[in-house]
Amino acid sequence: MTREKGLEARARIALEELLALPVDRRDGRLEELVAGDAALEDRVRRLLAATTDTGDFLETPRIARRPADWIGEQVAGCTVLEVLGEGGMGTVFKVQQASPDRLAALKILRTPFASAQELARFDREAGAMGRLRHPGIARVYGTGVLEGDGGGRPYSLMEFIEGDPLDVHAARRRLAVPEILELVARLCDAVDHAHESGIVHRDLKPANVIVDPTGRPVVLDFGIARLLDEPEDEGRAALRTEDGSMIGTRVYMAPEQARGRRDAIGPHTDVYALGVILFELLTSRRPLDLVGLGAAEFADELESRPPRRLSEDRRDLRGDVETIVTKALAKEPHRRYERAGALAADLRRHLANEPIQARRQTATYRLGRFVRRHRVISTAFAVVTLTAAAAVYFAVRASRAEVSAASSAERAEHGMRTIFKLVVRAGTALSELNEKEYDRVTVELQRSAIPSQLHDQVLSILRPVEATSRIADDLIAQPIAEALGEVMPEAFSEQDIELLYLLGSLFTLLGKEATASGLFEQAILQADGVPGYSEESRLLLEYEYAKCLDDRRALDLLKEMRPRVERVHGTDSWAYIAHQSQVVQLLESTNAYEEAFPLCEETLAESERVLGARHVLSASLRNLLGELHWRLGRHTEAVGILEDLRLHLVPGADDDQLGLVLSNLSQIYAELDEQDAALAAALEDLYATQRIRGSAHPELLIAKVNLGQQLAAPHPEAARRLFEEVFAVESNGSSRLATIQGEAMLGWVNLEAERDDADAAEVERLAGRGAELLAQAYGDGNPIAAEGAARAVVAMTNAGLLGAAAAFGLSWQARLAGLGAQLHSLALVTGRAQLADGLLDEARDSFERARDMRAELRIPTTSPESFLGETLVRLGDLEAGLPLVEGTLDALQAQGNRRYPEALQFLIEHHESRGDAERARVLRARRDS
Amino acid sequence: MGTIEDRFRGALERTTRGDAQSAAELLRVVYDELRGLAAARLAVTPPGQTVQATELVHEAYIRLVGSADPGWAGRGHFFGAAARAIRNVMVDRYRAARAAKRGGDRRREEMDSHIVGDGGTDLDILDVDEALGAFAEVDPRAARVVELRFFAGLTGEETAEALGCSPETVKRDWAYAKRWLRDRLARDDGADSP
Repeated sequence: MTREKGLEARARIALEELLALPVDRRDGRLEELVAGDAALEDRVRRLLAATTDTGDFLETPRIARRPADWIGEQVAGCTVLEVLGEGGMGTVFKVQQASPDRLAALKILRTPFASAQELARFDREAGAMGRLRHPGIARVYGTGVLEGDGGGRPYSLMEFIEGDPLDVHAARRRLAVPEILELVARLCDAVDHAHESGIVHRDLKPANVIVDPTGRPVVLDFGIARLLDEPEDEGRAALRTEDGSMIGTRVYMAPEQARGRRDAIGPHTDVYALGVILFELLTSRRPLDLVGLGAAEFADELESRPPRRLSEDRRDLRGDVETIVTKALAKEPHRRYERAGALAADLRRHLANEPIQARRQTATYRLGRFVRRHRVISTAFAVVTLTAAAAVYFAVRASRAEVSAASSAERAEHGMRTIFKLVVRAGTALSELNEKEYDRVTVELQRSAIPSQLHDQVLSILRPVEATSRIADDLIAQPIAEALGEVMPEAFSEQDIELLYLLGSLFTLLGKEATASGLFEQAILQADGVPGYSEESRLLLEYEYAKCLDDRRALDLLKEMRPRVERVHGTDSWAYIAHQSQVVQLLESTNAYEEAFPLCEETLAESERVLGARHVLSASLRNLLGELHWRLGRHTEAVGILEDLRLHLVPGADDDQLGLVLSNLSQIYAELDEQDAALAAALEDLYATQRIRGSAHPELLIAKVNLGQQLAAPHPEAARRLFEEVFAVESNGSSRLATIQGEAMLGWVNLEAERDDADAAEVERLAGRGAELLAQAYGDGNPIAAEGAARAVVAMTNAGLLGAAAAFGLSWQARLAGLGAQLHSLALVTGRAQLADGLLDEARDSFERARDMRAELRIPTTSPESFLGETLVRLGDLEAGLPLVEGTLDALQAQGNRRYPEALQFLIEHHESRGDAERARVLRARRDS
Repeated sequence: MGTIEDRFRGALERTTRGDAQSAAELLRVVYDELRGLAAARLAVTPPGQTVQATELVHEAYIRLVGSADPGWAGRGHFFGAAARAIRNVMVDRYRAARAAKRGGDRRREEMDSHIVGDGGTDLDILDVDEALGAFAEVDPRAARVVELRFFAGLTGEETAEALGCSPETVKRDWAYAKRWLRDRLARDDGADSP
């Protein structure tokens, strides 16, 4: 302590001597004075650095009234109800205005205004703000001045917004990324409205944005900062010193603002603040940590230090979101989004899977985006896209070939000829598009990455082409595959691999999985030889490859990839959890429910720990868990999990996930015979899916099929229309679409057959086609194929096509013989058609087979026995037949089986025809009861 | 006990004569007076508006001392007591305001703060009080200079008179004290404290 004191005393002496010297001579003298005493030097330097020249340090102690003391008092024609907050600029109260009678927020600024001129300006500016009308901007009802000593205090009376500040809202609701993006986009909408009127907020921060109970963000205090920040006369220069708001808002302050460059402030200043807000909401961290700095130092650091990258905290946000945030946080104002509206537009483009403006325009990026957005589009459209991509590919190859050997140039020329041919074909395809699609294609082509001269050429050829013939995608796909072989380079570069990847993705889009998988295989093979091709990129290639494999092979590939994913990304990563969730999904789709369940539980726990419960992966795993419970027969658990998830997903923001959950729920409720709940879920699913998908998207088609199935009984006409809509979508050869359309066709024929004026030919055609589509999609070894065939037989039978139904049933039993006992339903419905058609011997065989198969599977054999009994009776074997029909009657009734009334009617007619009036009467009484 | 004026006059006289016990009584009287004045003034002050602490001290001087000049020693004792008293009034009000808030983690800017202007930032009265306490350990005279100049609002000359030293000494003490406190408060800000 003594030594400390001695040091301090010496430091003070040195300080006073140095302060008396001109600044440039201080350093030299300091060294002499301290004579190598490092502790002394440090202390003196600290004291020297602690400049007190700024403002009024230790000049004026002030005492403020506690805002809480104002409750119940009258201010500005209002009764003070509550203190909402006290900030640097003043105090905000919740008040009850007397006339008009309403709740309002009263903000009283801390800074007094001295001159009348200033007050007039305040009124003028506040008037401009008062004219802002937007649901996302708190209305300014009026302004005024509270007289007091030391000058009048301006106040403004604003709309009172119930709710939480933005950050509190986000934390409390644990918003998922898409919800945060949409919330910020809506915030941008409001801010942009003011930008349109030339008004800049200048003090955007989470505390200035309230999210109301409907989830709408409302901006407070528009333009108030400007009122305080731009004094017109010299006397106001002290404003900022008294205004304590700087500390609170530094975090959101743009560099030009920190520099005090008032002329440089504009809408882009708000864009910066919005960027910080977005960063903070997504990561709970700030892009820059600049604390404990003086004003000048702070401005220097803010201008020079690059912000933290978003992906440091959230790997899953690499890509668009990071690009958007980075652009909003650009140091130079002109590099940012010009206005909040442009930021909102990019956020929404990202949410809609469209290319964002901020992204540097690389070919891969644009086409990749394009492909993703149009996963299912008309064939013709896909052909045009593919052609364009091929054109790019060959153009790139050709230009490279030019600078290499002459023989290569020849090959390149061939490549160009191929392009030409392809373009003509594409033109033919294009002519089949309707006007709207044509416009879309040309717009997309103009926006795509095709070199401009080439794209003009493409368009000039495309426009005048007139053709009527239908172009099959093979006409395009085949030549590309061949031409690829010709121009395939000897040594691959990273870019070649990227192009192969791109082409592969486009073939996947066309449903040409075989060609695509060849391209991916090639790319993966060649990637090994490319120095510097990262393991991470290679994994991405393999994921694309997996997409064009059947589920089992994809599952094997993913299982093989797991250790490498773990090595590259670690287990606590988005990538690893996403990988494991893919595995769960594939296990589920290959019916390996028992194996999938524990892995799903484990991965869900990891996902919630690492990514949080609100993360889209966690939600999707939770949905899978519910689905697995259902598949394993635990309906109650499934409903519990899925209903809970449904409550936590936000319509409009989580539609993607919500659609899946609702579709599962709808099917589960249907199985539980809760028709109303099933119907409601299916309808909601349809809305959710339609909000985010085009009319031809598989998700939407699935939703329509589900809804159609729910509606079949109560509203057959509506259901028929839904089914028709689904199979009217042009098929693009993808197996996914095939299953959906097959389902729709079978649903349709089932309804059509029930009609009095059923179109028999159409029923036969679509029943056959539907069964075929399902069998092709699932494979002949899948019980679903047998189920599809059975449904086709039923529809044909109901439509009166007895012979055709019987023949169809027999030929499909032969085709699907590998399924063994699982053909029991097909055998049964075939027997029914045969029985109705009078083919009694064949019917007897069918029913016996159905009975034996069910016995083998330990399923009740009641209805085959009843049918068999009827057949035997008709064959004249009353002794064997009657007991079978009569003996199964009670069981059928108990099951609510559709065979029951039929069997009853048969017995009544049988007894009547044999003159046994008494037994017929008893049975009729039973029928009519 | 008599009126507050009587109590004040008695305490001031005894203190001026050198009765150390009376200094505490003087402080109590001035504290009560200032607290009452602060409450009265604040009651008519709009929310967000502030009252300058130094104005209160001068008002108290007029009310308690009146027109009768107590001499340089009396003035010195009054302002010494008043500076300490107003500092205590500010700290106590601040603490009371903070205690009234629920959930102690509210952000500082939301509190009822007795602000001390500082080139673009607000200082917290508790921080200033605490730093000044630490400074009194290092240099008691310079710390008194801060109290008299800052809290009581005395000029350099008046401070010199109250402390019985030269204006030059006060000026140097004041310059040193401001740097010392600035350095200390910047470190308390948390960024680079050891």
